[in-house]
Amino acid sequence: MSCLEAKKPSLFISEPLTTVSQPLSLLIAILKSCYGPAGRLKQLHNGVGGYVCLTSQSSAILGRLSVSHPVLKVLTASVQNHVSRFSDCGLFTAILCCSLIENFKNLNIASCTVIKISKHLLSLCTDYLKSEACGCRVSVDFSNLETLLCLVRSILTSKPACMLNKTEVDHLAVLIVKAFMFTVPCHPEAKPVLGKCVTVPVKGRRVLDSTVIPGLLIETPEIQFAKPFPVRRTTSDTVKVAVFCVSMSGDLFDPEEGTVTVHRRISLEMSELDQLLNVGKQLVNDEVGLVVCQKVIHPSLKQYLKDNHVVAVDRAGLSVMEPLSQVTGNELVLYWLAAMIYCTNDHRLFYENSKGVDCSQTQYQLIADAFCHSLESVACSLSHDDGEILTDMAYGHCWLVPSGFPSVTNWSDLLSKCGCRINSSTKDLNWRHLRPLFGSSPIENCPKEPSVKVADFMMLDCFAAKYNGLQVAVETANLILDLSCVIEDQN
Amino acid sequence: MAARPGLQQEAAVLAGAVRGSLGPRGGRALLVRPDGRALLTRDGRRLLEALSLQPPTARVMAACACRLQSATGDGAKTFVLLLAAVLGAMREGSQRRAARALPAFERRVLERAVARGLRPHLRSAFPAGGPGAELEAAALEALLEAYLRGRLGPGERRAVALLGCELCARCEARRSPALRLLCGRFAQLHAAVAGLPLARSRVLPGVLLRRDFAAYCSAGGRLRAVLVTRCLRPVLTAPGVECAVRSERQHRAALRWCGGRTEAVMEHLRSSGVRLLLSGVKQHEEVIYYAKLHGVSVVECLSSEEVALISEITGISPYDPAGDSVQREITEAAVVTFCQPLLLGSQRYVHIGFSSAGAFQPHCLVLCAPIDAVNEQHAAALHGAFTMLLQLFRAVDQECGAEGESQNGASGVGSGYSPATETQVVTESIACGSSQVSEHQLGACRGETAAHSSDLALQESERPDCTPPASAPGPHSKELNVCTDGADSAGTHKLHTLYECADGMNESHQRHPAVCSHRNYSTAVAGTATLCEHLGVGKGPEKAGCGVAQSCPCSILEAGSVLPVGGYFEILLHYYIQHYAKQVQQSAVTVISNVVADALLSIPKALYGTERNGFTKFYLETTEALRKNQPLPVNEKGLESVYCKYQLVTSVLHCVTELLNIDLIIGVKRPLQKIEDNDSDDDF
Repeated sequence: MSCLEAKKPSLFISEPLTTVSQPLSLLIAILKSCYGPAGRLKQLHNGVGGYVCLTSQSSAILGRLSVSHPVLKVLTASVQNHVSRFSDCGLFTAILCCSLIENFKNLNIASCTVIKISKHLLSLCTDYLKSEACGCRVSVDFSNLETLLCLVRSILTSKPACMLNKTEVDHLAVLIVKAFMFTVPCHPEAKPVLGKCVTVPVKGRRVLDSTVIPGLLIETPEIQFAKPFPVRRTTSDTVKVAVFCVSMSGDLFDPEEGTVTVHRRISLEMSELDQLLNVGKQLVNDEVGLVVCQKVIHPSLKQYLKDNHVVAVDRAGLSVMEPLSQVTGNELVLYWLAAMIYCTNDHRLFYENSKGVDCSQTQYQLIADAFCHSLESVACSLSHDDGEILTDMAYGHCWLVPSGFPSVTNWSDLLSKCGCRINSSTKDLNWRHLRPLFGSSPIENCPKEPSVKVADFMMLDCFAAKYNGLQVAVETANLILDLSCVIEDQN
Repeated sequence: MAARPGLQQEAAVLAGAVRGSLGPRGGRALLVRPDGRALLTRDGRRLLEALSLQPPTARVMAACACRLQSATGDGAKTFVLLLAAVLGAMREGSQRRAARALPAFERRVLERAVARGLRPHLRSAFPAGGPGAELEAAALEALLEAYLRGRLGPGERRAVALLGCELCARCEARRSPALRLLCGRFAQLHAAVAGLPLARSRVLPGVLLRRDFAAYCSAGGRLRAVLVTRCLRPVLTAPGVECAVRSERQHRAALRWCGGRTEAVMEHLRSSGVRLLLSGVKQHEEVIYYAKLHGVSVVECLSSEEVALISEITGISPYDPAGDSVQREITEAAVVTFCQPLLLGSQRYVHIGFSSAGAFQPHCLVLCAPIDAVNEQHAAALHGAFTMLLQLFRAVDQECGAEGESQNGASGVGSGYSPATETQVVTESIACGSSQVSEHQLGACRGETAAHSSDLALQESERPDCTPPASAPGPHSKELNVCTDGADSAGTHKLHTLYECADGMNESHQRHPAVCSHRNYSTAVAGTATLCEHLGVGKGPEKAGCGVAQSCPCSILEAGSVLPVGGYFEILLHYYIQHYAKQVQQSAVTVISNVVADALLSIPKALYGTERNGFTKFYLETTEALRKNQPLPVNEKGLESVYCKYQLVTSVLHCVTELLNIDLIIGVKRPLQKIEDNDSDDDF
């Protein structure tokens, strides 16, 4: 009989966005200060002991932060989902989403109108980003690894918690690109499938000792590395491998089957084990050096194999079995290869008034302004040292002024390269301040495309991740603006 | 006895809770579950369920609203609004009287208003018409988009509606049987990926199974697949069977025979061109081994729903190699055009292209959204939309002719046709297993046909749990039916006396049993009969044959009837109820007609919300056109199903009748038996 306990009535909160302002601005402050290569670290600890986490990564922060406001839970869940798909641009997505909510909320325009227009603005952005005219995209030249190296280097430098110096960053970047190249199949196929790459952290060694090892890694906690590794080899450089996907434990019956009555003096276990040992003999005769079994190997068989210098690995699990079966070449796993890369520090400012959206010109202008300022405020959070942040009027790139200079100097004397280091010529450029607050006038025309030539230390971002992050941020903001009430189950 | 004063307020509070998410301008609600997970929704049913209401009568209201929504896929929020408006407009003190006039109103005013008044304004979503009617593509889009306006945010409606249209079109699900399959199996026909924008959603050909291959051998081109629901390796013993082993050699030989047999089966499958084995159970590792050896791919541990979907699409039944000849020809094999693993997000799927044996062309929908909660919302909205579309294929029939006009219900009921209808109704309800409804009916039937108690006894013995427990406080009015009318039923006798002491109305029932109660219950039977029938259709693919409602020459509403969305139905009905009420002499009916007519206007009022003069202008324009017999001024592309709307109005009226007939709420200590019902919403 079920227990009869009266359910508590739920808590009904109408207009949930009225209470979100304070926690939202706190979250923005946390996230903004983490953003970019100069981002500040956060120390996360729970006050009662245990690990302390030092990080500026969105996934680490959002995963550990206990957010109590239900609306912000939606926001953080959304960013975490994005990160789990692309493992990049989490902070960008989170900051943009928060700023959009904050700016839109202050407009006092019906959320329905705001959502429609921001969706329209998003489609303008995505169309532009995909179009040929987009000036912030750099395509990857796979015959020359420089762009890939730049991308990896940019991502590594945006993780200040790793405390890597320049040599270490360069070393790791080369290793990562090398590991990636190993996953690309050698033979061109119709549907190329990338291989897998496993990262094994080893404590107590220098970063520069890190290395890429080709081949397959099988975890064997039982084998002692102190002793020399006793593998039988058929020739000097080849080892025969036998792979079993069935159990070699000698278990006889399925528990679901019926009863089996065994006469006295008969031992089925022994007969089963004899069979297994026969298999073992066969393996030894066939000069097999390594036996991998997906399930359990009987201890006696294991010992027998070990005595005959055959390495036996059992309970290998799917993560090993799959690559092993791939060696014979049949499995298919799809990975999405990010082929397009574009500049980190761009901000997309372009206005295009559209017909067909049901709102007044003023409303449209207000919403578009709020949208652009949200994007600008993401760019602004790259600077953490009270340094000025500027944008040029021709390309729309970001230029950071080191702190400590008076703001009325001639900019072209001070600036040498833009944030992403694509533009280095300061000739004929005009700048203006980027401010996260309202009031700065936007660029009138679409930014020009700079003559891109791959420089040594360009700062690049993964286009696919950023593109997705932009869409997710706007969709999540719209979702949150659309909330009319929160119903909390109190049970 | 006066109605409980709380009803009006309760309904008004409920209406206040759902009003915020009504219509195109409504927002969505964030539901936080006890485990902290978030759920986003604008679904009236989910909202009402999430409120965990305490007042018993409010729970009845919510349960009625939810029942309507699970039947028609739509309308729970509107139900609550209309209910609040009807209850609110009834004058204090005259409620009982009004409630008694409701059945007469329904039959003599409402049905006429719909059948005669509304008819010229209706459009049809089936341009070709006929029993095999096909939903017009443009109408489908208009219906879906209008429906989703009430369920999704302004940024998503269009995209999700287009996805729904594409899915319908590519599945060939614009006709009733295929649409029913799509609706019934939608849970298996869609997959969700979180972390991506909605724009990445796709309709894919074939079916996605939430499993990974146990063995995968890539094969190009068309291949054959078999479905199995048993392990292909023979077992030495079965549960309950004892196997005696006399020697080790014997045991080994037995195992070898099992292995040999497994290989023989696999060899036979392969030589018959079978390259894919779909299994509802876990297969023995020997089966997997031999499958790999012979180049047969295996997908195992399929859920029973997935197995059912596959056999519905392909028309095959599970293959069973048991018996003497392994070499029997394999007839039950499906043709598969492709079969490959697919990684969606972090979830692995098996993607199989079945070539269909029926009208349904298998396609599946991959939904993308930033978070799971949104995917769930989109999937629930689309499922509701398909349920709503399915209702288009139904018609509302007049209750078999004579009854509608018959003034003295007693003779009408006694004149032979009613036992037949009842038995038919009851059997059907048993077949479709929706006991929530059948309980209702049994209560009603008993009231009418005390004479046919032998029949009823039979029905009861078949479904003992259909008899409402004497102590059930949930759907109160049902008990009341049983108690007041089944006075000779021994089981409920004790409670009956209890009621008699407390209830003055009871006596009035006893005094005019012939007229009052008869009319009351006969309509109840008819109303629930339609409800029950389409519940059955929605659930059981085995009932595919009886999908399209019987076309009756005197139908109130024809299948496929649609109207522009945005309050036109309510204003038209308001206008015609007033029109036909003038022809009725009974004052009680006239009063209730005005109450309902005015209450109907509350829906377009709520849709227009705070927009200044929006509603007034719309109302004046529309009624002016009606008065001058001009075509309606429509600047709205969206359409809505009139069948669903009509069901909404009648179920509100039934709920009002129920609520006003409650005279006593009895608290009980024992847990109430929950009656088996997949769609039951009375669990509040």
